[in-house]
Amino acid sequence: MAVEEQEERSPAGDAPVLDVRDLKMHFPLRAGLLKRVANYVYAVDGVSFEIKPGETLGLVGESGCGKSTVGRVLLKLYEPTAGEVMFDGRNIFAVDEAELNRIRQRIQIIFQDPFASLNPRLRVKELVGEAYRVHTGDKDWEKNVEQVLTKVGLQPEHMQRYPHEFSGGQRQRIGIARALAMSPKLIIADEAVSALDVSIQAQVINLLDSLKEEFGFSFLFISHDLSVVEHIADRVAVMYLGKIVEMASDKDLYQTPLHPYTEALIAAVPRAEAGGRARRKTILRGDVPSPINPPSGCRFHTRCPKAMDHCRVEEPPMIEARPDHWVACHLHGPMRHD
Amino acid sequence: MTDDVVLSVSGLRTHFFTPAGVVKAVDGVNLEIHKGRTLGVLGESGSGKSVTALSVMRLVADPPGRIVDGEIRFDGRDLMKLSDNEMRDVRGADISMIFQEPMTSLNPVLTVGDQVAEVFMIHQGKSRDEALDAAAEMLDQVGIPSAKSRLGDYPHQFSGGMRQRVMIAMAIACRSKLLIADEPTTALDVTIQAQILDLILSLQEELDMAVMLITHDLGVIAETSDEVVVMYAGEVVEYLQIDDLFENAQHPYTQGLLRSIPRLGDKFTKGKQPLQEIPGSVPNLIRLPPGCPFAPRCPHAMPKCEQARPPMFALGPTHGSKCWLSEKDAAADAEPTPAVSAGTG
Repeated sequence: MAVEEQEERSPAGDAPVLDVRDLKMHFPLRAGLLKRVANYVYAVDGVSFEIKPGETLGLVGESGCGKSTVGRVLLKLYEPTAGEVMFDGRNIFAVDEAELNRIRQRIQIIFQDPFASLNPRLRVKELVGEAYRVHTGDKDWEKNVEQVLTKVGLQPEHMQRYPHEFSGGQRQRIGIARALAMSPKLIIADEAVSALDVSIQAQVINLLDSLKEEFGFSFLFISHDLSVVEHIADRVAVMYLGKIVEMASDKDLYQTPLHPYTEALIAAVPRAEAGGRARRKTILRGDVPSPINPPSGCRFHTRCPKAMDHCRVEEPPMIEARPDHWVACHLHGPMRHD
Repeated sequence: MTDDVVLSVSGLRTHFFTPAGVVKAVDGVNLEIHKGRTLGVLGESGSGKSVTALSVMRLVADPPGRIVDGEIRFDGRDLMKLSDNEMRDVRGADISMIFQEPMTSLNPVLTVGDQVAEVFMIHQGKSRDEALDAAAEMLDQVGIPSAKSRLGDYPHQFSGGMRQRVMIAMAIACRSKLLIADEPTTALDVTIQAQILDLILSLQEELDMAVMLITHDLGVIAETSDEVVVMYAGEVVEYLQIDDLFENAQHPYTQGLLRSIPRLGDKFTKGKQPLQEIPGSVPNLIRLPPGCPFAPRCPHAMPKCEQARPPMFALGPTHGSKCWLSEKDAAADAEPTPAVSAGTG
């Protein structure tokens, strides 16, 4: 488990594990014979947030909002266009190779599709243990694999098997074991339970919750499913077209949302309760605009039921409208300290 | 209640003959759908809900699949007895179907206009020009902005939600009596899902159409269905009215599903609690246990459950549960109970 040599907790105690500052990820679109850059996809366009030790931040939004791109930039799978990502106080884009390797062990990811993210030719032993063996050089690495497998509800004898011998839920457990084997400080879960059946989803959510409790890692939980995020997150950020539009504690965000988009998202979730058929479901008309030519002003103004003239022209800044409740919307002025 | 039955399926068994063995994907399904009403078919992957729908359309690939037994009555006719040609006329005209992924169900090299128009040309013998006019009208009806100018667009020029609208336009083009929607919103974002569900329901009302809505999502069921069948391992394990689903579900699997989902607001009203899991996973459909297929995962399993498969116990005119626990509450005229050898004490 390698948790034996527990990472020294950051001395400041509350200092964020992850601090993302004004992150931008623009993908060039090339066209023509010379493959000139014709335009950009503004996938992530100025995103800032932090995650404290042991905290779970939920990142929600619809497809194309940039939430998965954020996760990938944090792993340095992409070189961002601008911005800083501070992990444990160090900018991951400004460290040397050796330091980066050390950081990479401490940030792990769990993907959505446990079929696509496990190499079918490797046994569970290698899938879970390889990174740990390479990074630590531990001769006793198989012991570590055994321990993490038990932690995620699999048996040590599963070590010799291949991914196809497992069900979807079990495969996701293998993915979790692989992340856990590195005793990470931060785990990024990108739609980690979205592909699972309802009955299996509950098992995996409970597993993640209890592992978080036991090992105290920080958690970035990226998902489109608002009910799951509410259940698992301490704090939630809502993204729309490459920007965070609202960020608050779980309770504040769900119980007293300030941004019209957050309100609409929550209202659109189908409720598993009697009397639903009569409920009018359409909250927002139209589609999400393209991130290639995002709307001017507030990006949500084309679909916003409360849009004012002002919203078409000026982009609302992110402000702290209430204590620890951030929103980027012209309806909400800055918090008054009187 | 019985005279407006649009579709009635009884004793349906659809098996797949694979090198590994016979997969009993659907194994004794009974259901009824009434005019103007929505039957929600709830189940997880592998429960047989999609194969049931494909069987009704007689679209199960043969080989390896075959409908080995059962009766499918639609509008008074036994679909199992129709020739392939007759069945082709039924599809699209009388029964239509929409699928989860509209991109894979639309032809990428034909314009949207031509694809919708084709329905009118085949089933109503319209000329191409007439059919294109009708197509524009349909696309307008399902909420595609400036529909006429988009007839010449290809599917990739439409968003996911718009493609699903095109599929729906094709499905309702002939005012079919039954619309089968197989996970129609699963691939869509939540705000778009809401739009599509509203669209299906308003068209249903307008056309007095019966809808069979297949989904794994209890929320979608709640917001669309009048009646519900819950499927597990190729069988309907419970059927009931939508209000009963949330207040009076009797089958332990249905109860388990209801408890296992996180619900908005619960965390703040009841405090954070672990979700109630259904342990284990769905059984292998090639080697089903002899007793109740849910018994290995059931918190109430008794010795009897592992030995004999429970029949459907009628708990009222619109409610039935395939669980031995319901035996004592069952109406006297329930299905005949197979002999139970032991374990009942």
